Amino acid sequence: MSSQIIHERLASAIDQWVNKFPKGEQKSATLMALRLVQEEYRWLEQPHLDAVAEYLKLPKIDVYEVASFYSMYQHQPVGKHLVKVCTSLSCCLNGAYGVVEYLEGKLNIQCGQTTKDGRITLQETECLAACAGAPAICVDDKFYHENVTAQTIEKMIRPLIEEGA
Amino acid sequence: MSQLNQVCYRGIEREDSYTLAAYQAIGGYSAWRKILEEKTDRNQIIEVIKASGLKGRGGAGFSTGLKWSFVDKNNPKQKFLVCNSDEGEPGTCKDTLILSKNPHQLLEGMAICAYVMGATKAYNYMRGEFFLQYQRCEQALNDAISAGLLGKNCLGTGVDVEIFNILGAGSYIVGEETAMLESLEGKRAQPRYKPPFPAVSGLYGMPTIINNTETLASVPVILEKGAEWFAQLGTKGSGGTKIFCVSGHVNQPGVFEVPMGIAFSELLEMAGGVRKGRKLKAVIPGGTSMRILSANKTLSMRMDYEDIAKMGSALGSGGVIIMDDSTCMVQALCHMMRFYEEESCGQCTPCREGSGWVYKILKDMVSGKARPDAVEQLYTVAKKIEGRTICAFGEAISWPVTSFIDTFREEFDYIVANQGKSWVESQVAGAHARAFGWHAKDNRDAS
Amino acid sequence: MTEQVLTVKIDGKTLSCKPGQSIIEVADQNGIFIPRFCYHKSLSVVASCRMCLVEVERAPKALPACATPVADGMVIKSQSKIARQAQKAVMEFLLINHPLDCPICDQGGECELQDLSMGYGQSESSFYQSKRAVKDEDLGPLIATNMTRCIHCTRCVRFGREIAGTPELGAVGRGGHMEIGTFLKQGVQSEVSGNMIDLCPVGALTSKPFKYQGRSWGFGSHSHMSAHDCLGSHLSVHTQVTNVGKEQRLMRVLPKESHHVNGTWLSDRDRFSYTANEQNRILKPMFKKQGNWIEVSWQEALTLAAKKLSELKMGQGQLLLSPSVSTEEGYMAMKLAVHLGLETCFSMLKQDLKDQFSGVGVSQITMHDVKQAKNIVMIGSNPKVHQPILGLAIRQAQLAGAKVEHLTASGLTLNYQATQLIAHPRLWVNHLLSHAQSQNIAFEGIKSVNTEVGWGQVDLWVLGEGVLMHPQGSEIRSLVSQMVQATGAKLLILTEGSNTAGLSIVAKELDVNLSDRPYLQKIGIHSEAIWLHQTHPEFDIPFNETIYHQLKKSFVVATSSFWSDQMKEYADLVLPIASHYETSGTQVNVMGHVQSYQAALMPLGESRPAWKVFKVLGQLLGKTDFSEIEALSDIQQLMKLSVLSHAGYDYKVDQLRPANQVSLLNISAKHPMACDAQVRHAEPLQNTMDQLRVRISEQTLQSLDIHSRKTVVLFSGAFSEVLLDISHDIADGCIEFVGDYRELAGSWLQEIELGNGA
Ligand SMILES: Cc1cc2nc3c(=O)[nH]c(=O)nc-3n(C[C@H](O)[C@H](O)[C@H](O)COP(=O)(O)O)c2cc1C
Ligand code: SF4
Ligand code: FES
Repeated sequence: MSSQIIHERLASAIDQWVNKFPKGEQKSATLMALRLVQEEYRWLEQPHLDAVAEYLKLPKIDVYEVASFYSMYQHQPVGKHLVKVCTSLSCCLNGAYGVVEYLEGKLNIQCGQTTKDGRITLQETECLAACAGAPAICVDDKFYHENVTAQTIEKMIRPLIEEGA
Repeated sequence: MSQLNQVCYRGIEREDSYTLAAYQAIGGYSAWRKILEEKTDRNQIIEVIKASGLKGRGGAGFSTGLKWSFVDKNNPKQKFLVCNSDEGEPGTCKDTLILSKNPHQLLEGMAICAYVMGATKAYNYMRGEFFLQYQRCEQALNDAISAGLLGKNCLGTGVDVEIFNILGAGSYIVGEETAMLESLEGKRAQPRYKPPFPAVSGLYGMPTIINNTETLASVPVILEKGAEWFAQLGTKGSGGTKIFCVSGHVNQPGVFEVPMGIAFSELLEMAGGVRKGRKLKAVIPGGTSMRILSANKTLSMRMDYEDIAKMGSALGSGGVIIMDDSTCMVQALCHMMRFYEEESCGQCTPCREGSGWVYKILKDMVSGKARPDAVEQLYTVAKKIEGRTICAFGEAISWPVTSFIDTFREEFDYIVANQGKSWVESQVAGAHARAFGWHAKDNRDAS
Repeated sequence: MTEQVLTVKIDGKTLSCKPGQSIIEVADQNGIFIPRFCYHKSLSVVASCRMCLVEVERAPKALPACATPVADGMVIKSQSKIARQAQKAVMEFLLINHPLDCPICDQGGECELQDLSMGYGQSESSFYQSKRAVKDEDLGPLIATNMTRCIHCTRCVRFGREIAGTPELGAVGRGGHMEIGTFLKQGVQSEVSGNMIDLCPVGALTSKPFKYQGRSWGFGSHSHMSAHDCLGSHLSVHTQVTNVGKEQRLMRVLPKESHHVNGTWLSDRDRFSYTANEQNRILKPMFKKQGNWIEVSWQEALTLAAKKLSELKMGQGQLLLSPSVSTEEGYMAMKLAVHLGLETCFSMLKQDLKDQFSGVGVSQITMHDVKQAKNIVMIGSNPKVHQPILGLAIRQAQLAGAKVEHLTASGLTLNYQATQLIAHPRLWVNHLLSHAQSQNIAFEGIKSVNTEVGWGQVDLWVLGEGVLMHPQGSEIRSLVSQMVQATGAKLLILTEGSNTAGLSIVAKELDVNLSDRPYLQKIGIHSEAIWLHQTHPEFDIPFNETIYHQLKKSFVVATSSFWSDQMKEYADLVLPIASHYETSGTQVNVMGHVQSYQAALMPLGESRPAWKVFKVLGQLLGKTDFSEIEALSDIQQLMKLSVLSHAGYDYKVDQLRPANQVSLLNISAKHPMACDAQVRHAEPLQNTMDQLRVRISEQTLQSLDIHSRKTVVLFSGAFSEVLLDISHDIADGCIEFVGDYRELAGSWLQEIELGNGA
C-alpha cells in the first residue's frame, strides 16, 4: 500500500530527511515526508497520510495530528500552482486586499478556489516574512514576489497559466 | 547617519556574499578556526558573549551569554543546539536576509555555540516557505563541510559539529522555542510548560539551547572584534546592533541593521519617512505581538530595549510597523486578531477560547453588530487571557488589544456607536475605512 | 540516604512534602482541593486547561498547581484574589463554547465542569456570539460521543498514548478549531477504551450502553469483583431501585481502585459485561418432558435432580464446573460431587492434565513484580486480549525499560515493544531446552538441542493460554519451573476463568476426584448423567458432534443463569442460578489475592444463589453435613482459604512426550468475548468484533494445495466459507481465526481441515 504511494524516488527523498535526525527518531521527518508526498500528489488524502504513517512506522493518528496542524498542508484538491497572498498587517497596510481582488478578477475565482482548468488555486496566507516588500505573494510555497503591482502580477501568473500543457 | 550593516549583514552588498569565498574574504570563519586551533576554554567564550551585552533577538531579549551558561557541558547526554529561523512574527523580515545572503556567518555562529555547550548536533529550523533560503543554507553547509570547517572532526581537531537545515510546514507558534522542539520531534507545535527548561530537558528530552538566527549570526563578529567593540556600538543595557524591519506606511520600507539606541526618527528617515507626506499616527515597534505606541510617544524614542520599554512597549523582534493617520485602528486590530485566532495552538483554555472571542467581538464591531458594551467587554476578555497561558502567545493577544484600546479608545467607541462606521473615515481627509488600499499600478500610490 | 523533606504552606497550612512533587499532589494528599481538568494523577502533566492556577508568593503571575514543583518554603494560596480571579476567568472561557445542555447530558450530576462551575462560574456569561458546534464521530458500540461538550483537556488522548498504548484519539486542527477525535472515522479498538469515559471530565465521552439510563444520584454502589479473567479487577457496581416496587436494576459498572490489581483502570470486558444481566436469563426451574420444556416448582426440580444424580453408579457421571464461580459455590458443588461419586472438571481448556494437582492456580508473584521485571519471556500468552489489566502492567514494565519477548505461533498486535519468536507449538519445548542450555541449566535425561533463542537472563516468565491448551503443557510448565528454581526468576502461570486458584485450593481441601484425562473422552465414553454448573459446553470446551450426541443421550442437569440455544436441545433439567453480580462470595486471583464481595442486587426471577441450591440438594440426598451450613460464612469457615501452602509449582516431568504431529493445527485461543456466558450475552461487547477471517501463511496454503485467495472452505464448525487473511506472520502448519470466531470456540489446538474457496 504505502509502497505504491511512496515509490522509490519519494522514499529516498524522505530517507534523506530521516537521516538528519538521530536513529529511532524517524518521527521527526513527518513534516517533510508529508510535504514531499504533497509535492508529488498536490494535496493529501487519507491514503497519503496512512502511507506516511506506515513508511515512518508511526501510529496513524500521529500523522493526522501533524497534517491537520500545519497550514501548508492541503486537504482539498488544489490546482497545479498555489498562489498565496499575504494578508497580514504590513501587507494589508500596503493593499493586500487590493491584490486579492485583482487576482480574483483576473483568474475569475474567489479566494480559496481553483481555476476551472485546474492550474491555479488562490489562497490567503499569514505573514510571509516579506513585510518590507509588502504586498507579497508566495507561489507554490517557495517563490516570493514582493512589492507586487498589476504589471508584476501579470508577469508572475503568465507562466503558471501557460507552462507545460 | 548611523553606520549600517556592521554585524549580521556585513558584506551582504556583494552579489556573491553567500559563498564561502566571499565570506572568508571578509574574515569569515576566523573566530571558529581560532577556537578550534586554540581549544579555547568554553567559559571564556561565554564570558565574552556576556560582556558584549548580546541579548536574544528572537523577541524575549534574554542575555545570550547567560543562556549558554545554563547547559552543563559536562553532562554526558547528547546535547542539541537549535537555531530559530522561523521568523513568523508579523512585521519581521530580518532573518531571511541572513539565511539567503550571509548563511556562513550563521553557520559559524551555530558552530561556536555548539562548541561552547558541547553539542555535536545542531538544527537550523526555517519556516516552510523559506525554500530558497534553505537552498542557500544547504549549499553553504556543504561547502563548509567540504572545506573541513563543519561536520565530523572539524579541521582535524576531533571536534564534531553536525548542522542540519530543517524546514517547517506553516505555523506561527512553532517560533516559540518549546513548540519548535515539539515540531522537530515531528509533532504538533504545542509549546511545553516550563520548567523543565530546554537547557535541562529540550529536544528528545536532552539539554538544548535555542537561539534566534540574528543572535547566533552576531556571535562570530563579536569574537572577531571583541566584546568591547560590540558593546559600545549600542547603548548601556543594549549592546551591539539590531536589525529593524520597517514596514507599513513608509516610502521606502526595508531592513536596516543599525546600532542599538538609534533614534526612532532617524530610523523612520532611513525608511523614507511616512508615505505621501501623511502624518504618523502609530507605531508597533517590535512585531504585532507588542503594544502599539501613539506617534507622540515615539518622537524622542531611542530604539533599544530600555527606551522602548519606558514608552510602554518592547523591542521584540524588531519588526517596526508604521501607520499613518488614514489607518482605522479597529480595522487594523481586527485584522491582527484574525491572525492570532488562526495561529493559536489551541491547548490553553484562555488562548484557545479567548483568541476566538476577541476576534468575534472585533468582527462584530467592524460589521456594525457590536453591542454597546463591546469595547469594555473586549478589554476585559483580553485582560483575562494575560498571564494565564503556557506560552507568551496569550500576551500576544492581550497586549495589542489593551494597548490599542488604551491609545485609541475614541475610535473603538465611535465604531460601536456608529454601526461599524470608522472614525478615521469621518475625521481624516482621504482616509478609507479600509485603509488598506492598493493601486493596481503602484501600491505606493494608493488613492 | 534519608529522604529530603520540604516544607510548604498551602492556604495557611504548613505541610511537608518531597522534592519533585507538584503543588496539586501535595494539596491532594492533604485534602486541599484545587480545581483541575487536564490533570489526572495517572497521566502525564500538560498544564493546559489552566484551571488549577494558584498564587505563589513572589511569582509574578498565577502558576498551574499541577505543573509547578514545590520548593522549600513556598507559600501557596489557592483561594486568594489572584487565584480566584484566574480560576474564574478560565471557567468563563471554558463555558463560552460549552453547550450547557446539562439536563440532557448523561454526565449530569457527576460532571467536573458542572461541579466546578457552581463554585467558580458566574451566573451569567457575557458571551453572546454563537457557540462552536462539533460533529460527532462514531467510536464504536461502547463509547457515545458528544464532542461539542469537549473542553480539550486531552485526558482521553493521553490515556490512549500513555496507558493503553493504542494512540487512536488525537487532537486535530488547531486553535479554536481543534477537535478531539480519530480524524478519519477509525473508531477505537482498545481493549480498555471504557476508561476514557471515566477520565472525560464532561459529557463528551459517555457510556453508550448506559446512555439515557439514569442519573447517578439515585444509585446504590456495591463493591464487587470481575469474573472474566484470572486477575479479577475490583469493581464498583451501581444499581437502582426502580419505581415499580422494590425491583433493582444493574445500571453500570465502574472500576474500584485497587493497588494489587487494576489500579484505577478496568477492561472493557469487565466494564460492560453487566449489560448481559437481564438477557436470556433462566427465570424458573424448567424440566424437559417428552421434548417440551415445562415450568416446575423448585421443590419438584430439586427432588428430580437428586433422584437422577443419586441413581448414578460411582464414577459414571461428571460435574463440569465453570472456573469463574465463587469459591463457596465451587466448594459446595464439589462437596456434592464427592458425595455422589462424580468426577469434577473445572478446567475447560486443558488437553493434558498430568500436572493438575500441583497448585497451578496460584503464582507467587504480585502486580508490582510484573511492573518491576526487567526481562520478561511470555509463552503462548497475549494478555492484551485475554487479561487486559496484566497487559497494561507488562506495557508499564516495558516503558520502564524491560525487555519483553514472546514465544508465539502467530504474530501478536501488542501495545508495547517486544520481540516475537514465531514458532509452531510443537517446537516450543525445543526452544525452552535451547534457552536452558544457553543459561547452563541442566535437565536430567534430556539431550542437547541445537535451536537458538537469545532471551538472556529472564526474570519473569509468563505462561498463557497457549500453554494451558498445549498438548505438552505439563512439560512446558515443568521445564520453566525448573529454570525458575535454578535462577530465582518469577513465574506467572495464567489460568482460565477468574477463580481457578480458589477452586484448586478447595478441591485439594476436599480431596476431589478431579478429572485426570481430557474430559472430552470422559464425556464421550462414560457419562450417564452430566451436571453442568454455569457452563455451556458448546462454547466452553473443545466441542464436536460426538460430544453433542453424548450430551443429548445423557441426563443433563444444568444449574445456570443463562440459557443457550443448544442447551434447550441437550439439557433435561435446568435450575435458575443467580448471576455473578447477584452473588456473594470469594475469589482468589492467580496471584493469590483473596477477595470477598457482596451481591449487588437480588437474583432475577426465581433464580437462587447456587450455594443455597446445593445445600438443599445435599440435604435431599441425605447428607447431614449440608444441613449444618446456614450461611455463606459457614462455608467460608469450612474452606480454609487462607491455607495457600501448596502454592508454587513443583511438578517435574521425567520424560518428554513427543509433540503432536498434525498436518494443520488450529492455534486460536478461546475467544475473549466468548469466555463465559455473562460475556457472551453482553451485546455491546459482542458488537465490538470484526468479521471472521482465517489467518494462514502462503506456504501452508500451497502445501495444502489450496489455490483460492479470497476464501477457504472449513470442514468443521458452523462455517463453511471463510475469508482468507494470508499472512507471513504465522507459523507454517497453523491456522488462526481472527475477528468473530465465537462459534468456533471449541477447536483449540486441534487438527482442522480446509478446502478451496473463492
Ligand atoms: C508566540 C511566539 C512566537 C515566537 N516566534 C519566534 C520566531 O519566529 N523567531 C524567533 O527567533 N523567536 C520567536 N519567539 C521567541 C522564542 O520563543 C525564543 O525566545 C527565541 O527563539 C530565543 O532566542 P533568542 O534568545 O536568541 O532570542 C517566539 C515566541 C513566542 C512566544
Ligand atoms: S498560549 Fe496559546 S499558543 Fe501558547 S501554548 Fe497556550 S494555546 Fe498554545
Ligand atoms: S489541571 Fe493544571 S493546568 Fe489543567
